[in-house]
Amino acid sequence: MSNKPVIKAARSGYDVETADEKYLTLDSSKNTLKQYQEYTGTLSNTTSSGSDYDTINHALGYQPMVLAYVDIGQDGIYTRVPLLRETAGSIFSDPTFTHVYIKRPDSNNIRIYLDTESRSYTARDLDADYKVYVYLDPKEDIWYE
Amino acid sequence: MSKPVVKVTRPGYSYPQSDLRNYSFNSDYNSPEIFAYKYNASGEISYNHNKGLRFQIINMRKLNSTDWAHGMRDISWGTYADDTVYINENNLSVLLPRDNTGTEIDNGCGVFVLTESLEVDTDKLEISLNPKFVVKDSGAGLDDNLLTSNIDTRGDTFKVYRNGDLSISASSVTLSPGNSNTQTTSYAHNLGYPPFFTPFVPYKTDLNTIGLSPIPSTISVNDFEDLNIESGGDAIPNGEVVYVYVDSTYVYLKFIRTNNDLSSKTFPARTINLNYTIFYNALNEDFDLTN
Repeated sequence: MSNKPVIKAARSGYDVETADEKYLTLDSSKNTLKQYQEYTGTLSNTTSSGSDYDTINHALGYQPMVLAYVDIGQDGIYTRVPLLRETAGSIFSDPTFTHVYIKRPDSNNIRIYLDTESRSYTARDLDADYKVYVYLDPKEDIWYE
Repeated sequence: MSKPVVKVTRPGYSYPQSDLRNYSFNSDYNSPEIFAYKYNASGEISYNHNKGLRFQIINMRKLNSTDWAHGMRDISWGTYADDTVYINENNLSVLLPRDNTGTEIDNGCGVFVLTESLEVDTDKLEISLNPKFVVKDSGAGLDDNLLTSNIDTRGDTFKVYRNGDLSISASSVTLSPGNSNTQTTSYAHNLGYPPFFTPFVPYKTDLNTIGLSPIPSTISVNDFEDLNIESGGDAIPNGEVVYVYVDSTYVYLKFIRTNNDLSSKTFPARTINLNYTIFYNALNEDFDLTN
């Protein structure tokens, strides 16, 4: 017998026998996105530094798909990375900018940065909690059927 | 109680596989699951899920009646959004980006809400116990919680449809003031609906505002995933802008050079490369699997 068994499951309310592929929650004939690792940490800026970063060593040997989220000021509200948050200035102070972004220095590491600055490049104290998720696909020899 | 293992290798590959990527799915690793996709064809999203958890999200921009792009800030002068997504324990909001006059520039938006919480793993995301068939790697048997396993077929997943490359070879061109040169290439996915895709790059990126000095002759658009976004309004674009977006038939790579100077300008040759991945997940259909 040459047929290979397939495991499929359909979204609630759909028939697995007739549903379009987009309504199947699982299909063993397809490449399903897989999370590789989760990383958490805190970045801290001070008025003397203005920039902080953490290096994450995923050691995959290629540039993977990454999702990252950050809680600026540790107030329980997350947003997605990259972000640029601008705080309006006044006649007494410059606007300030908070940047959180990802860089990939090589194929085994990623870095998450927190920069804070004003137009006069004055840094400020700020902490940010982050969560970074690294996935096995969809780059580097990705397969599909 | 030991935990069951569910693994299926990639078609044509025998079990076991040392390379984790040669599995269709593997319960040793979490397959990110989607419990809801919220979609608004003509405005912003405020989703009061009231589940007491901060969920991972992936937000998308509905640029106009047909085109979609990733929900990331454009890298171009005069277009900014500040933060477009806010996630707290009972609500998530997706805002539309605005230009430097505060005017909304998109039609609508969408957001995938993943079962993965940004908080501790002992939380609960309640799901029905009544589906006919469930695959779930859980030592405790079938429960009503989507957060207690790496695979649970009551949640949707991201399944790869296609991967490929697009490239634009733009020859050097001399443009008069105010004139543009546009080159577009595309791949016909023919899914009949706008699909989720990667890389996570902005809809448009001005090559002169992303810290490239000098701008190389060959550009990898995938590298735009890692940009330190410049504040809007600080840089006047010198007119080399890359666009990435999808519609119901195609994924597009577009390169537009515009002379914003007062005299003729010669643009150097550029090669623009993009590796894309298209998933089966639709961007224009709202659902919530926990209801």
